[in-house]
Formats: sequence, C-alpha cells, structure tokens
Amino acid sequence: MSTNTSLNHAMKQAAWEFKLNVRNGEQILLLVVIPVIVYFALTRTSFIGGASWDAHSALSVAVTIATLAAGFTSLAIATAFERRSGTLLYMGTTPVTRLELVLGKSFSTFLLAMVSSFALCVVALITGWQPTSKTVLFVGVLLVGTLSVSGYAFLMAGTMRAEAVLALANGIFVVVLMFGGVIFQYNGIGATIASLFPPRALLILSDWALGGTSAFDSPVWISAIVLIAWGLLGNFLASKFFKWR
Amino acid sequence: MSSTPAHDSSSSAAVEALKINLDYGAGHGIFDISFAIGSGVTVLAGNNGAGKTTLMETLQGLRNPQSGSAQILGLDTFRHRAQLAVQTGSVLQGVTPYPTAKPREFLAYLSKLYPTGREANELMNTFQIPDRKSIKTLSGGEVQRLNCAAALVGSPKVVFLDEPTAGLDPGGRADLYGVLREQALQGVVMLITTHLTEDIDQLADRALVLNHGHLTADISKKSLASTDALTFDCRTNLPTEQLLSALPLESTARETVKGHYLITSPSHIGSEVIATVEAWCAQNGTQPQNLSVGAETLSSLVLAELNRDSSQVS
Repeated sequence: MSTNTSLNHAMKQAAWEFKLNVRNGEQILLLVVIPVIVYFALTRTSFIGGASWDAHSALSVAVTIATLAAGFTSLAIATAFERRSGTLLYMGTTPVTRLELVLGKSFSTFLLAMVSSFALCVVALITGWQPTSKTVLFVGVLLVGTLSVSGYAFLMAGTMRAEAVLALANGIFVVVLMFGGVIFQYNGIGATIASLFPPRALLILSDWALGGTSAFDSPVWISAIVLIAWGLLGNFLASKFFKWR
Repeated sequence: MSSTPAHDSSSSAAVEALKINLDYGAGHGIFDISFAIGSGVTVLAGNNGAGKTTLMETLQGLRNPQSGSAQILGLDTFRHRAQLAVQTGSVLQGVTPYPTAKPREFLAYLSKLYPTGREANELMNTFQIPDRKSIKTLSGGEVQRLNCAAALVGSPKVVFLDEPTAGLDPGGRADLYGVLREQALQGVVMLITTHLTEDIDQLADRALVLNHGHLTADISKKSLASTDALTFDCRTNLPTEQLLSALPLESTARETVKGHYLITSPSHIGSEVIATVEAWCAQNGTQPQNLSVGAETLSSLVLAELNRDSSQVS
C-alpha cells in the first residue's frame, strides 16, 4: 500500500467521520454551545475571578475547552460506541487499514476542534477580540493540543465498555474544567503542577497564540513539550492496549 | 456423499485454510482446519458454538490463529490484508456499522474506497433498502440487506457472509438468494455460514461441516446427483445398524435429528426398501411416519453430520 493511497484513505475516512460528527446535536452542544456559554460567562459576568475577563483570556479558555471536548471526550465516546457496534471491526474488512482509520479519526477530531475554535473566534471578534500576527500559529497549537489527548481517548475507547467510557469521559471533562487550571486559576505550586498536564499547558499555548495578556508562570516552550510528551505517551499506550472488538 | 475433509494444496484456490488452530480453552475454538475452495458457493455449517464465526474471521485476518495460515486468492491473509481488502467483501455477524449514517451515504462512502466500487443507488435498488434518516432506524432485515449490499459494493472476487439471511423474512431470503446466485454465476466465490437448511439447498454447491471446532465433513452437491433418499419420523434412538444390514449395499441409515431418519442409496429407493423400513420399525415396536422418497439434499446430509455424536470428534 503506497503512502499516497494510505493518505487518500485516511483523508476519506476523516471527511466521513467529520460529516457524521457535525450532524450530531450532542457534538455541537459539546464543541460549540458549551464553550460559547463559557466565553460569555467569563466576559460578561464576574462569577469567576471577581471581575469580567478580557476577550483574549476568555477566548483562550473557551478554545481550550473546545479542543479538549473534541480531542478527548467526543472522540472517546464516539470510538467506544463504534467499537461496541462492531463498526471498527467491520472497517477492518474494507480497504481502510487500522492505521488509516486512526489517522482519519484523529484528523477529523482536529477538524472539529478547528471548526469550533473558528466559531469561537468569530464570536470573540464580534465582542472585542483582536487577533495578532501570532494567531496563525494557533492552528499548530490546536493540532498539538488535539494529539496530546486523543491517545487517551483511544486508550479508554479501546479498553473499556462504551457505557463506562460515556460516564468517565464526561466526568473527566467536568473535573478538568473545574480543577484543571483552565477556568479556575491556581497560584504558586498549584499552577506549576497544573501546567504539567495537557489542559493547562494547552491553555498557556492558546493564550500565547491568540495574543492573550494573561501572565502564566510557565514558559510557552515548556507547555509545548508537555503537550508533545503527553501526546506521545497516550498514543503509545493506545497502540499497545487498544482492542478492536 | 459425506467424506473426510480433503485439502488439495495443488489447486489455485480462492480461499485456503492450512492447519488453522485457535484454541480458546475448554474445548472452544477451531482445530487443525484445512480446506480449499476453488469456486462457487460453499456453506459453512455447524451448531451454535461450533466455531463458524471464529473460522470466518480468521480466514479474513480479523483473528490471529495460534498456528496455521489462511490464504485468499493465493495471498496470505495477514501479510497482504490491504491487497486482499479490495478484492473481498464481508458480512460480519451481529454488526451494524455506522448506525447514525444514512444507508445511501454509507454505501456511497464505501464505494469510494474501492477501485471498482459499485453505485450506491444501484445497490439500494437491488437490495430494496429504504433510504431512511439513519441505519439505526432500519428493521433487522433491512440492516441485513444493507450489510449484504455493503459486502458487494467493491465488486469483490471473494465474499464472506456470516449468517446473511438472519432476520430476513421468506420473501427477503428468496430475493437475497437471487442476488447471490447471480453473483455466483458471475464468478464471485462465496463462503457463507448459516443455520437454515433452506440456505444450504438454495445456495450451496458444497458444504463444510464444523463440529466442536473440527471440520468433520466436506460434502459436494455433485455427489448427490445419483443418490436417492428416504426420510421418515419415528421413535428416537432406534438401532440403525440393524436396518443397514437389511438394506442394499452402499446404503446409509442414520438418525439426522431426534426421531428423524435418513436412508440414502446409490440405487433407486422403491417399495422393497420402504417395506424393509416398515418391518424394522415394527420389529422395534413403532411405525414410520411422514415417509418421503426423493433425491438426497445437501441439507439432509449436513443435518446428519451435525447430529453425529460429538464424542466421535477426536
């Protein structure tokens, strides 16, 4: 199988998965509606931090949530139910190889994160956010951010029952929102520890790329390394333990 | 007639199993399976848990055998999966791929993956699949027809169909038989698992019988041409050896399912044989019911094999 054919299959699979995902109302809720609500909650109220947030910082938080929702929660649940229905096994009988299937899913997830982030950027532009020259790098941040957690989504989906994945992936998502250093910020050692995990590392990188003014105590390059390291570990574990049936 | 499974390694087989073993423990799995299929429709028959699905999936490279190998169109199933995927089609048992997709778009997507993909509309019409909002809203029979359509979407040379008629009503089965026979006439080689005797008689050129993971018989339809069969019902567990000794040479006599007996003979079965059967029944204090004489069917031989005592399987 040539690289061209493989790439062709992976892209077709990505387009197919993307088409199915964007039709799903729950996905839209998770990837667009919730992050937009968070964005407005941060910029229009003083519930969190005692004052309303500026558009840059709120946008960074919202896109981080959207990326985690696409790259982890949504991917884990969808893959787990596809495994249960036998879809993954079935695709093993088609010309799409397992690697192409995983690449297709990963790329589709990245596209979902792009679309939801684009929608958030449009909302933020209307409400006062101003992009900078660094904003083009945000595409790269999204890619690294998606891959940093997608391996763990595959790991859960490929080793646990679909119902357990549904509960756990949503549970982890809520815990990350509450305690991951994304919405509620830490200081000192708490912030340092949180920065070693994908949610806050992604927030730091997003904030940098979107031109935010938040002062994080962890350098951007460390956050990039943190995301890449978690991504490599997650995808390695998934490749070792993922079961197709 | 029934025979010990044979393996012709010199043939240019479409599907070939070479001493496949996959032992799940406690007697479950498939053991030392070897056969070769050159053309036509072959049915893989066996009781529940006999290992049919395991064998089908192993042949397609979806399960790894502990030993042995499988080849399709002369290529090793595991080493050449990508090459073989474009030349094979498959229905997996109990699988409904992409339940949230629309049936037509699912077939259209699959079609794009094959170099010789067939039109989704053509398959929707051939298999009479309604274009609903999603696959999960189709009935069981409609899903099964969609799965069969999906198996043929890539214009395959070899097709593996695991229980393709499950959930189909008699009309749906008849339609599917027509489509599959047409494919077979065009040279598509098929391996089908089924529980239905109707499937065997309507579709199969050959039957492979699996019993507790062992291939116990390889029966060709050609071998039935000159054989007459007498079937009847009476009390179970009668001594068939006693009857056999009174029948013409090369006849067979066995209880295929409880209380249902099958007599086969290379010569014509006439009133003499019927009288012999009636006398044998009377000798055992019973009377034969539903006596029927006709050409021997593939399914009757398969049933006879399936009813053999599992203790005969080593």
